[in-house]
Amino acid sequence: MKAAICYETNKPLVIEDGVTVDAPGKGEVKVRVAFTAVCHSDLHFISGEIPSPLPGLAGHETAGYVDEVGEGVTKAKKGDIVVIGTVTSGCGHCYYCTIGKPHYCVERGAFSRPKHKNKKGQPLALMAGPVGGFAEYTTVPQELVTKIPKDMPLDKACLLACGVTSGFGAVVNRAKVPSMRSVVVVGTGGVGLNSIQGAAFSGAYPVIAVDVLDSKLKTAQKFGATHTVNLKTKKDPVKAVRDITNGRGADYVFVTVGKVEAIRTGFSMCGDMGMTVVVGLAGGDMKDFTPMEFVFTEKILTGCGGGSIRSSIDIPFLVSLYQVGKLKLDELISGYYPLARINEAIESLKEGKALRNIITFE
Amino acid sequence: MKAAVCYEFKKPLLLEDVTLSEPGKGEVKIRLAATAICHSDIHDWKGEMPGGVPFIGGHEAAGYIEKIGDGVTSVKVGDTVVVSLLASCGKCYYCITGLPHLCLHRFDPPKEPRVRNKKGQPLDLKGNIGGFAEYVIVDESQVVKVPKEVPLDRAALLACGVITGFGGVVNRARVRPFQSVVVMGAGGVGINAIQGAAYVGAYPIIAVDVLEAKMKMALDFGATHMVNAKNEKAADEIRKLTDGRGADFVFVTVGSVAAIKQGISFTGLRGTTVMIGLPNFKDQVSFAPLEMIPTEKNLIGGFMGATNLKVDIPNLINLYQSGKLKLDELITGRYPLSKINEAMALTEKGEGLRNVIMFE
Repeated sequence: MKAAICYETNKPLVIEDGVTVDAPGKGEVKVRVAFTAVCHSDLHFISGEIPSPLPGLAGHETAGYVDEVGEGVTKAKKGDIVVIGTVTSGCGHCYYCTIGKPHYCVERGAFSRPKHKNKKGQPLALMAGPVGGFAEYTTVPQELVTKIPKDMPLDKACLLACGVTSGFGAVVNRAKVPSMRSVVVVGTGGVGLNSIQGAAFSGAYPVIAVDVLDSKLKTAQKFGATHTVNLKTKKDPVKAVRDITNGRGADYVFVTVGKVEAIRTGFSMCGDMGMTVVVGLAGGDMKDFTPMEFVFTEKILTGCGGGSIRSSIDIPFLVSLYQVGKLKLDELISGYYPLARINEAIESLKEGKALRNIITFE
Repeated sequence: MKAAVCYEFKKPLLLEDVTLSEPGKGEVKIRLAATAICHSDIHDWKGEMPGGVPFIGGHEAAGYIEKIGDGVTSVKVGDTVVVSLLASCGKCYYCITGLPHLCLHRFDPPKEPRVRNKKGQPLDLKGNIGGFAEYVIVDESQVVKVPKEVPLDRAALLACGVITGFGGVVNRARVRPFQSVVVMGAGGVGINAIQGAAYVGAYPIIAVDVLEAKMKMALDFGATHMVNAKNEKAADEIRKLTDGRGADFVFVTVGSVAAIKQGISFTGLRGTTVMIGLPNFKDQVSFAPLEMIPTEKNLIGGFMGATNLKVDIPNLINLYQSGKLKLDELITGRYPLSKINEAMALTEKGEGLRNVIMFE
């Protein structure tokens, strides 16, 4: 089979034939990949900004067909269509699973064992999540697989593996934003737009989109943003947010850009007792926060990985929302690229023009 | 093995030799050390709960793992465990959302009868346990390992009575410091609701019962005031103790609809009445909607203290070991299985807290 392999950071991926993947072992599922979307986290790993062993195989927003199941698999059977994401549905019995937080399942760390080998037989480290979606086939633990209805288009479904769930889930699951509360979303890309539609869906008001490109802010309005603030053209963006929120600052701020400066900006836009949720993966250290800011404001700074989803509940729920027209997925797709042209898809995302570029395998 | 079997409601249990099957996939066999008698056992014995005869009661147990079935990972032979009726699959909606006590499969009977009498007749097992027997087989999810140094007669109480009362306050109602609490019934469950309320900083904590002796005992478990339920002005007494408002929470641990109605009258605006004690399964409770609408009162159920066994049992053991949870004081009497009818009769009278059947 073919796969796009990262042999060296910051270099184009190498499309290689003759790649192999392990047959599914106990509790594992082999999937014929139909579509994998390119996420910014893939870029962080491919660029070396987040270190990983090499050679490596990225891609973690995947949908496809179950090709073979290992012993003891109950979640899917051959021929089922599935989403493969980075968030585990959980073992069902550990501390985090029994308290209703299966995305923190203690077994989740065991999933990153490499399962692909290149044509020389070298194992390929899994980058940006234990999925291996930039390959024609992958084998994953059944906990990463969610069965979806046959009438759900797979190119849309793959977005539910990470980008949509990370943005939407941060609002709905992690912060549990109540209706009528004010929300700022910093960054209106493939994740931020989904925080915006999550906030709109929850009845938040105002929903303020913050970005540096007017074109993206326009798109954000289509996803439910009620106000926009351009960080580059607005003289005092923090004051702009305060002006929209009765002078207080936002109740909730979601930082979907993977940059520490964006986290700092977002935290300043947050009002007293507000919550800032770091969603985008950022390298580097957060230096310019003072304890005094926290003490006198009672602000909360927290993180959210993978939208804190209960994948076996939330992914089917999002499919239903899409099917009844309450969740935008079609509008998130900027372009389709066959695996052979994956480097073009990556470049276009890097330039910040695209929301989601999708690698096609069929 | 020996078991106490109920062949006819309200008639003495029959002590006889019965046969137990082998633990299947995901099941464990336990040699019991102790099984406490719960008021639900009395309901079962009187025919006040769904289900027929013959059956083996007992669902508040602790013992030693004797044998494990295929695929069991959380315990091994020789471990000491609490045995509860709370089975959970780990995969359904309620399990995934952190409410395993509401598991969709919690009441599923075993695929094959586990216990038969000498004639080969299958015996119903209350709580899918049947703990009035020397050995039991249960689903792995029904057991929690406990440290060896915890006395098993104390551990047994954690399977139902303690968690139902304590968890009703802490998990179900999530009572916060300074909120006012009334506990109706100062028996084996109510006394634990009282110590739960005291533990989370509720104030005042008002014990309501008909027996002065039980209410006095409630003071030792953390109650700050007592009001006799027979007092015609009980509701006024409670308002006096709660700044004229009525209680934030009332826990009805008595299985009586009259107590539920009285409990609602004890709550203040937005106050919550939590029904915990099981009345006869045919009983109905009636109240005026107008009593609820302008007051925004809540009426809710609390099942087994909304307990997550794997998290809460170890926590309660830590509390017991550090002297913050009373268990020793809950045991009124210990009886061998041969004297179970005597022990049941005392529990029915309602004088003691917990009578425990000891197997060793």
